[in-house]
Amino acid sequence: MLERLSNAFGVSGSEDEIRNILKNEMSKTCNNITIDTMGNLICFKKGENGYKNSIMLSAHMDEVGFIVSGITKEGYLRFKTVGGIDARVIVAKKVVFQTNQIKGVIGIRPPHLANDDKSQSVNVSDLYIDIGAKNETDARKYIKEGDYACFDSNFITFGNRLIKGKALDDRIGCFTLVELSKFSYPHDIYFVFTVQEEVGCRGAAVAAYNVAPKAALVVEGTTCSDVPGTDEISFATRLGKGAAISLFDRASYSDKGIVNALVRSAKKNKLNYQFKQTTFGGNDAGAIHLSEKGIRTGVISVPCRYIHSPSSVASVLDIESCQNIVKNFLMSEVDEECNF
Amino acid sequence: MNDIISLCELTGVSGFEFEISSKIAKLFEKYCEQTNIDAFGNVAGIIGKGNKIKIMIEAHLDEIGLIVKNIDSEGFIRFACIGGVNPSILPAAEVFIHGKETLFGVVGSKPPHLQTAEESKKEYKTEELYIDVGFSQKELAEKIQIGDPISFACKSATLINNMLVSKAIDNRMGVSCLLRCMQRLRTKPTNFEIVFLAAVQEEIGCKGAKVGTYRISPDYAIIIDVTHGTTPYTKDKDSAFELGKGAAIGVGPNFHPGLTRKIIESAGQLPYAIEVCSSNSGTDAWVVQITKKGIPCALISAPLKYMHSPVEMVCNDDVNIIVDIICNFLEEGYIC
Repeated sequence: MLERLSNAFGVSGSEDEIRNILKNEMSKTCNNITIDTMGNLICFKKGENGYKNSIMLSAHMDEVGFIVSGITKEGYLRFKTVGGIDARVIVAKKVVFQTNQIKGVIGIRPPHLANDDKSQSVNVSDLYIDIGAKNETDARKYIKEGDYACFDSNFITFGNRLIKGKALDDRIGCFTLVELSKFSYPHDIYFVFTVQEEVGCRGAAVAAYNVAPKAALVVEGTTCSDVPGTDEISFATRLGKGAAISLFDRASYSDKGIVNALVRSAKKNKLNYQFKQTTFGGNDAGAIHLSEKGIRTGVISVPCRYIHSPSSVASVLDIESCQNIVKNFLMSEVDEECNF
Repeated sequence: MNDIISLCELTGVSGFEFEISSKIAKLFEKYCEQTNIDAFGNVAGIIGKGNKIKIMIEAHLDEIGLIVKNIDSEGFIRFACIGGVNPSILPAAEVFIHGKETLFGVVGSKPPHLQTAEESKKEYKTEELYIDVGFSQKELAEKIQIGDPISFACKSATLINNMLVSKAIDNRMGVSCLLRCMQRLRTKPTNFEIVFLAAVQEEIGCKGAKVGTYRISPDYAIIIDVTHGTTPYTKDKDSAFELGKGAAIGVGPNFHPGLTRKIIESAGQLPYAIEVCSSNSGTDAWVVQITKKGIPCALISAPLKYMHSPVEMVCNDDVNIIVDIICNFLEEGYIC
């Protein structure tokens, strides 16, 4: 299932394919499914205890990618990145378009030909997508401005229980929600798959307003920097050491009660967990916790190395840890009034 | 599957061609009267043995890659380059390490958000990058060791207009030309003794071709390789050729004018361009030409975009043109 979700297309603003897969999957486990005006997929599952308060679990289904901004006379595609992508990881990679499965490559000047300055990194504006077109007219038979592309990268398992694929941020969160929806919980649960996280958490703001939950938990794929060249103090998370619980980041301060309840859930069930060590970036929690009169919100994440690249890497152990911590949290760490 | 693509999917990093050589020899055996592999790993196949004039058709079979230099305490692998590898293609590239086991890995770097503004404006240097295979140092001891070769793992693709994308099209494209020529000539004998040579170690200094040619000792040699294709990254001053517009035929001191003229005549109405090489052509022709008492050489190339990257691109139509030109020449059966 995670393989299917990782391989599916869903660049921010163009999430139809991934949404259809999730909708079909969630219809097997949920009582009611709606899609709001933004495109957020909202799946309601009735609680066992008839509590009046509901909890929202949120994962974003969009991924970083590319949008065509022009076509040159020679038939090369100019593009812009959708979401934060470092230009250095897209060089010499393949991309695939949503519209017709047309493939292309992002090339580079060969090392044999002299460069002006090899030490300077490339800019996205210097790069082109090459679909093999003869000229502009030929290219326009297949592609137009505004068409979206994503990385062409196959999901695989490798190493010691690791996975590699594109869009692990946040298809891992989507996968976790799909798996969690197979169980029953005391509270009503809204499993929400948001759009447009990568361009500024825009879907989540609307989704949270629509759902108006008593509390919310964001399930993310987050940066993992336990790699050469990084001081240990800057390790945001460590791969294989369990799901990462956020205390705060640039977008939100996590609700202390939720943080403590997640830690309790991990400890009681002897599950590995870690705190996210850095405070860079932000996620849908930033939009959700400020919705309406304020929503108690927490974040739990699966560490992903090489995030926002075609070759993101995550550990199956961390995915399992995340799923089990959240499951036990929902089943036994939240009371009727959503106190933690 | 396209024959070029299936050849590209074989692994043959320069200096580590043992396995690919025997696989290519198996393919040669289907069409050649005799096939052999020399001490270097060069594969030679003969058609028309005993005929008076011996012509060598040559293409190199090796590919650029990386090599394991160090395995650190966390299991991250440091590497060096084999052949001309541009570090720009490495971040987030996917690779296979060929040790006792073949391991998949991702090339990683210091995460961008932890870099200073200054750092993020710089290209990575090879020594700042590493390969992540997801095993600990202890687990790796059983699987790989320092000195194991590493190849790129990018999956090949077929684009519109018969464009093929893969690693190692430089120069499995050339090897496929050898095979396509053999297939045609098997049923159409010529006046020549034709020796097809798939040479090793071109990417690290044309070493295979040097010893291979010495042993074969041909009267004439035609070298097949790739040349730069025009892209938005090439400049007017670069010698680069449009894909899909035919072969490029080399002209310059590296090539014999008479033989080259003959090749151009053999092209007839087929599309081709002249590639001017003012000194070293950067191909095996450079060493073949001065082997023994000197060997007249000609060069036919296919334009290739994004050379030495995992997404090299060639047009299958151009490859067919090369085969047509060479077969026209061989079938005609005389030099001048």
